Amino acid sequence: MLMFKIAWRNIFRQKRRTILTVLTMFGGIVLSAISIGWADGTYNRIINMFTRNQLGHIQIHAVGYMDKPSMYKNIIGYDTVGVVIDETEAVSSWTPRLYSAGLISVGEKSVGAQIIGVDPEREELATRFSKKVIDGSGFGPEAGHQAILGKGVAKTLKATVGDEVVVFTQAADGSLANDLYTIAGIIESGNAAVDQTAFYLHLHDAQELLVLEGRVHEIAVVVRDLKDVGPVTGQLKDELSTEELEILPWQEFAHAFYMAMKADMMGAWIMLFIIILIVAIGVFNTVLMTVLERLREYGVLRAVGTQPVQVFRLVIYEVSIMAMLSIVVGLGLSILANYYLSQHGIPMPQEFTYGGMEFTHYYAEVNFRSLFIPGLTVLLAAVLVSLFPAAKAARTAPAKAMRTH
Amino acid sequence: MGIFLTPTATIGGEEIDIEEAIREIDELYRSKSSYSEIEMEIVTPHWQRTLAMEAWTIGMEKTFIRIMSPKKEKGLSTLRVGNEMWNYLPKTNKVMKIPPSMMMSSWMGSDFTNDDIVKEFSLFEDYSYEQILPSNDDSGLIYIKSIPREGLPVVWGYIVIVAQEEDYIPVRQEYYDEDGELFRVLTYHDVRDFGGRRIPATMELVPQNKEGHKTVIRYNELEFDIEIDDDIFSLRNLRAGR
Repeated sequence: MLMFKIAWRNIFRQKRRTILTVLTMFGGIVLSAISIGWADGTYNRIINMFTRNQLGHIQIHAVGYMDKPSMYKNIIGYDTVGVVIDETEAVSSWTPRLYSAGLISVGEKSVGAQIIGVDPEREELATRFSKKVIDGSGFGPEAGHQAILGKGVAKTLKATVGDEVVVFTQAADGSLANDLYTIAGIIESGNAAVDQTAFYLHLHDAQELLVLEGRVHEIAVVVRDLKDVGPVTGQLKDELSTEELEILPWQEFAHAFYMAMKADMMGAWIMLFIIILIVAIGVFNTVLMTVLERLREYGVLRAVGTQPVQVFRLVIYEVSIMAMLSIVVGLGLSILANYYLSQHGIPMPQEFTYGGMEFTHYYAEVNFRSLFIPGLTVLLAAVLVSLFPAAKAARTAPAKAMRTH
Repeated sequence: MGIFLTPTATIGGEEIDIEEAIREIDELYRSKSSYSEIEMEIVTPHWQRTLAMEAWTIGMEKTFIRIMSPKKEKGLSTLRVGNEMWNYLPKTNKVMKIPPSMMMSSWMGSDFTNDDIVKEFSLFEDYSYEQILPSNDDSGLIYIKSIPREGLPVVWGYIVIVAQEEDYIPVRQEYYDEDGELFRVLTYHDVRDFGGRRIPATMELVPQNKEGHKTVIRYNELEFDIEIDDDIFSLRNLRAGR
């Protein structure tokens, strides 16, 4: 306790030195707290943008569909599956989809397209469908032989809203289906490759065309928060028959994207490591200098009978107190900074729209780990690097130390 | 495997003229004009159906095919002139041009592609050929490996044509891709007499990469070198869709 008291007084004896050391640690904490909050905020936003635009957080297919999509691997009675999904905690919405391919034609031009049957009301809740419609009114709530074309398809066919579009495809019973639809809209999903082939029909129109009444190929589930994806996936797997249905979180059905995100996050952690390393070297330098500067003082302490272990503790206490000070002040400021950035963000050099969402700012996020990780690392790093100077102070030979200066 | 490659060979003491064989196989279904009634049976693991159709051809240039049954598809027609192809869809009363990107897609739901209907190559002119003698020689058959000449727009690497030694009537065609992998087999059965020509009336196409799929084409009637109004091969006639 005595050593702690002396340590406390020592800190205020040399204010400039203390402020310098505290500033180094404080800077490290704020810097790493903001970079973590920033990275988390940006990643969550990208993941949300990616999943909420079209894919959903969780996808349900008939077993085998993901490996080898086929018209015949479909979900029968998707509305009963929907009831189970609705009863699951933390689910925000779900939407059914039917997929096939066919030949579509407007006037003299024709092109191969992916036919996507959607439920407009559910699709709106899950993926903000109507926001992506850049021309025309979009679907009405009821099936009315309307179609929405991807921007690229519309361009290839030189089609405009109000034109008639013919579809020629093979239905599930093998018959050659063809039908006529009115173009009710042009869609820009943000994914140009998708827009190059996408041909949307109302789910019931698509089911009728393809002779797949009551069936869908995919159910996309959107959860309230990204962190609910795991628990909801687990719960759906418990509730639904996994012999017939394959329930995958976005990390699995969008594996390439997930891996890219992970690699990128790895980069962010390396950045963080470098920041902490710089802080550690700074602290080491300051503490070592203080110890060398005060060798005479330690010599006196030793001469009056202070044990080496007490001197050792003295140095460690001083560093710890300074570290705690920096952490309290640093984390306080980090919360404020991250909160500000989460509310106001930083404007992007170039704004863009993706899948009906406007992106104008980068945003940070306030979360536990963006505070906990920097605080703990700086404290540990400071104590760890001061071990050597502390040992040096403890080993001071009194007579020799007092003769210098 | 023990495959000999020789331009001509002697089987049973009798000289086989490969050139002559190719020429005859080439000419087998060819004529100045033709009219036929065809049944196309399509089998998949999920369904099985038979389409009845009528077809008119002039030379290698023009083909017109109209589906007569089943009822749902009645009137559905395909017109080909040279390398261009159109479908007429009676339900919507529209003519749809098949874009080049869809040429490898299924024709009318069968295992034949649009390309199979459009492309008319002369084995004799567009392929180089050599006789191969498999070691497991079925007696009375000749095997000819036909390699498309450089730049010919086909998806296969080569075709092995199997024909009867005595009259060069084809028995089987095996299609291999560029890696030498067999991907479809076309077999000929049921040789019948159509207006003085002896022709296999049934052709069965079995894709090797789609289990449980096959398409059988049966000629119920086949007339050669008859008078055909050139108007049949017009978009106007296609659209008329009787």
